[in-house]
Amino acid sequence: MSLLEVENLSSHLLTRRGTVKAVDGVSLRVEAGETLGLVGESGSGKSMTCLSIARLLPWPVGRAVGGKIIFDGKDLMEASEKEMSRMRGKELAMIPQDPFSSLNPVFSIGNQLMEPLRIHLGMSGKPLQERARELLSLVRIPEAGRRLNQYPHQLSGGMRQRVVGAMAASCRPKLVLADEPTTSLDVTTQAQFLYLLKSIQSEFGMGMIYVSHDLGVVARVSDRVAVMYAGKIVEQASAKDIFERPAHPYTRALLDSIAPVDRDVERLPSIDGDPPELYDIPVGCRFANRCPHVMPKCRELAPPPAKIGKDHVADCWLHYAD
Amino acid sequence: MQTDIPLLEVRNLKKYFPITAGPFRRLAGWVQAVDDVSFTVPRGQTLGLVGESGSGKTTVAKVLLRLEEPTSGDVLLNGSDLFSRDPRLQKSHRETMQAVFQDPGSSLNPRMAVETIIAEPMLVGGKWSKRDARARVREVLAEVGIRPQDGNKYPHEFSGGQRQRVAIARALALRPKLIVLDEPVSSLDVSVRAQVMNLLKDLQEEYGLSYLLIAHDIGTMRYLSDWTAVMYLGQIVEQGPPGQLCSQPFHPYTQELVTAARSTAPMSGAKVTTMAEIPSPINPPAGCRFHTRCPTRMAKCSQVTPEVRRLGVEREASCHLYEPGRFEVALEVRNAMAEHYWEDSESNSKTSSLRDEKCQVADE
Repeated sequence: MSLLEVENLSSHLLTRRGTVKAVDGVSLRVEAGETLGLVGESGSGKSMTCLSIARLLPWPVGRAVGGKIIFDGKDLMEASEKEMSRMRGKELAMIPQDPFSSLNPVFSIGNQLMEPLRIHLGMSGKPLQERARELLSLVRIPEAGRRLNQYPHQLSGGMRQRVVGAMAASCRPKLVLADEPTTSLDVTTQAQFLYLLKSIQSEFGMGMIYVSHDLGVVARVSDRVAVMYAGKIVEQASAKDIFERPAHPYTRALLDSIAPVDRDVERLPSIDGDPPELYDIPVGCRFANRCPHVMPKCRELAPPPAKIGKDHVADCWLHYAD
Repeated sequence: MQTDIPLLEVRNLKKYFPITAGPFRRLAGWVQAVDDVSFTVPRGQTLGLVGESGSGKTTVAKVLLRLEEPTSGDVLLNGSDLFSRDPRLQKSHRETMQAVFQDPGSSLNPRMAVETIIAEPMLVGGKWSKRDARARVREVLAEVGIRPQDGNKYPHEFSGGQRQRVAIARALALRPKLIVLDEPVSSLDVSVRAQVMNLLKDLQEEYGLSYLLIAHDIGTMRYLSDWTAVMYLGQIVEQGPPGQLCSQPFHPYTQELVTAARSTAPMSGAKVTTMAEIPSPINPPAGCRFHTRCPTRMAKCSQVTPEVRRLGVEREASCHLYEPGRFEVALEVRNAMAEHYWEDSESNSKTSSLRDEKCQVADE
């Protein structure tokens, strides 16, 4: 059985303009120790998927309206708030995007790092201090003892994100939800953070969902990739297949629009137009109005998932003969 | 029109920020944000400045836009002194040079309609009548791909990519010759980046614009710039055509940047060069500023500041590895290092023995 199995998850946001179907029938799974990359542009619902799994949808506008989230044998949709808070930070940890706002500026690094250890593992005194120091050196922060007493503003962005990473790993969770953890970092600090994240992951055997809009980053860390568009997963495959044999036109367009480092291009192909508004989803395929291969059928009926290969599915009519 | 002189010429530009301490704001030191930087932007071309945060690239832009006064150095825009105190000259400089900033969410006033935002630089200059300005607004909106009838909308009604288009329209309004682009696409989604970069390219071709592009993404840099300068701790460490910099970086820092950016092949793993951070520009390391992070560091690197060396027709780099007469050896060392130090940041002992061996050979 997989570590995490999400089946047909739907989450809505109730806004003044109408119901936003932010997550619309998403199914995915994560095996123990595996990384699933979740890619998509802003507004595609990738963060909302993560928040739904952690049951942290913004209250009261966000509602999980359907589906199952089986994590480690338990259905999280059925879990009580009490059970959830026992699980969050212990078995299920999160790394949010912005290390500037995810650390509390008025508490020291040590204080914040020790909080999950105190609450979930009941540690205190010397062993707690010792463990915190260990965690900081795990993410290669030098002079751990001194750093514990410092405050977030005294650390650089890269270091802060590493502290957040250490916090997430502190209770050896089974699953980490990393929501664009490197978007606000430089190329070099980004490489450092990804390296640490991967080494901690393989040491502790954690499963991970890595959310990003940057396919390049996802390529580096993921075993499998799910591409999201307008609230739906449009393609799912191994990282290798996604990059070498993309089957959905959206995935292909995303890959083509990255400015390459190792060769010159005359002109980058870009995806014109905008994704549909999520409170007014068109019938048929959601990518139809931007798709270079659009057929009349695409505008009438949403394509069901087509099996492309082993563990490779794409929602596109192109893969149905006739 | 004088076409023989470059549009923008920057010579030995320095910008030091004072650090004050104590109740009487005693001078405690200097932040050497930009330290002796020289480059030129030819007409109709793009010069790219790359480097990580803290390298001083944005400070260069600020000084050029006269948002900061330089500590020393000369800048010639179209052959005339950019730092002149003549108000008429200053005004004409502002018309010649416009800017697009990183985050259109904060560079566009949320309380102003888009057409007002774009018209503002024209009306402030006093050379445009309201009617002409309005016509020009419609023109530039169409040029950047926004329907002119959307001009009365407010910034929040547009998506990120469209907002950046508005910022570009504002920069275009005065028909400038040079646009300073400070991370123009880094706040945008990957899927929108290509659109905006293509727009910038089209506009450049159509109007013969020159760009000073500041970016930390190597792919963006390679796509947009004709000439690239790599900055580290306030200094330019290497420059040349971007394609060559990516395929054969000379300076170890350029190598680090390119490798960090390149590994997009699936499951290439997350490669790192070093866990070290950029040192503080308050007391930059002596000798070569990069020596604290450099995998090919030699004894003299921490003592002697390397000179700028010409390496081939279009390339220059400031690194002790490339002393006259040992170019081949230097390349060999660099390649050997490159192969090793991506594998594991812990394999330092392996690399350092290799370095000693190679550099000893090089010194003989």
